[in-house]
Amino acid sequence: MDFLTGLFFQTAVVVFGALASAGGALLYFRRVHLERPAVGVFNARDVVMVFFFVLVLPFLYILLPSPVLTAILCLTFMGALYIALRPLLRPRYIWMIIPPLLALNIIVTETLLGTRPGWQLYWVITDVLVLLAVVGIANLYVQGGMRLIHVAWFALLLAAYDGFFAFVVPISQKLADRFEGQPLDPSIGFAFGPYNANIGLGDLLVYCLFIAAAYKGFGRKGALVSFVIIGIFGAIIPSMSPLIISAVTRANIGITIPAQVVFGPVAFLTYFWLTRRQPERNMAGWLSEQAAAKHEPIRARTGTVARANLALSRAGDATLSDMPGTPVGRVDAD
Amino acid sequence: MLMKANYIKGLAPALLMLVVLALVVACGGPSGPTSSAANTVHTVGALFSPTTITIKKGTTLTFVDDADDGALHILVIGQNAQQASEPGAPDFGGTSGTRIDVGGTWTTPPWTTAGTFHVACTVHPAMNLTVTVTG
Repeated sequence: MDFLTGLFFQTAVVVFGALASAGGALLYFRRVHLERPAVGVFNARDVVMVFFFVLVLPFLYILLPSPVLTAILCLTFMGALYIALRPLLRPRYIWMIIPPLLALNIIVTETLLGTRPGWQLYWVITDVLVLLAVVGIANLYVQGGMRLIHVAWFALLLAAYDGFFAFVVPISQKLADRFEGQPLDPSIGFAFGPYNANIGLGDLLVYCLFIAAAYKGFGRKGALVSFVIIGIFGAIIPSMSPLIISAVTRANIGITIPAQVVFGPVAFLTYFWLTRRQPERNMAGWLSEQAAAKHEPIRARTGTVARANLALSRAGDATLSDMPGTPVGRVDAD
Repeated sequence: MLMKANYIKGLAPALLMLVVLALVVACGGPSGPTSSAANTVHTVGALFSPTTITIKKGTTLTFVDDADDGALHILVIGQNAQQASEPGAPDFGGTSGTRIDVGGTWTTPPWTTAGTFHVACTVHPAMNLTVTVTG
């Protein structure tokens, strides 16, 4: 196996995955308005909760038998895809898309992974699923009130977490191994010749959150800066360093990218750099700016609730809803 | 005392028969392909151990995915994670390959053709095993 080809392939896959998901999240944020669940505004306590799940889930994933793991992943993807597609499609079309896609992924995993074309088909299906899921979930958080300060702290905590579990207690490698070759691997990847590279859902979620929150908070400049740091510190640097390490330690296999070790601190510093220039804008601020510019996002085609949400946000409810402690999405129009 | 001696003496033929039976069972078995510990390959992490093995024609090969440092492996005939056609090699499951999960084992069909063959894992490109089948 050619080391340089592997390096180039790994980098290409990671850069594509990171920028495609970040670009998708940004586009979705600009064009689609999600219905927000009645769970209140996202705050620091929610960051802790999310981080707790991030801490616990890997251990659960390692311990669970494969069929149980697949069942959990199916339910998780179903929920995430439903959130992402709900504003775009009618429910009957959504249910015509999601279960067949999930089933196809499982069938391909069980029947075709002995071949390289089978792996490529598997990755194409998985990539579509993961891309849609991560874009939808990130937008649910950011449109629900998650701010860049939350994302920055989240990325910094993940940096410590990734560093600890990659170098002190090497569980990250075991987790990556756990998903490889299983249905619904939560990552974006591709196979080419002898190479198989991917970037995990956790990293992609951070990038999607960061760019959407940066755009919401700081506009075009925030989005541009996000693209740059995601590309360099979230994709290029991490994708090159572990491959070199794995080549001398554990052969060229199961490449785990402790991307947040590099990206987390940079994301944190970037937040402070951005806030030095201007204060962070909240969702209400962004919505009013859009309304003022007569450039409203595509509304959800979901009937009464969506229309009622639209009416409320136009009437200024969004301004209230982004204030800490104020519940959002309280519309019970049905 | 005499009774005990007679009792043991009476059991002796039965014990002898049991030992003989045990030996027959142990040595007999199916007359077809056999596998021994020597025909075993472990998957440790993302590597085969050993990476080369010589087996006799007509015997099988057993793969053991270690529970301690194991991962899912999809075994195929081929090299560098890519399936290849090697005439005479046993069936490894066609397009799906053979999946061995952590702690699992799998015994191949008999290797009936002498020659050199290759086994790879499509999940882990570094896993390459060379199997030499002798006549």
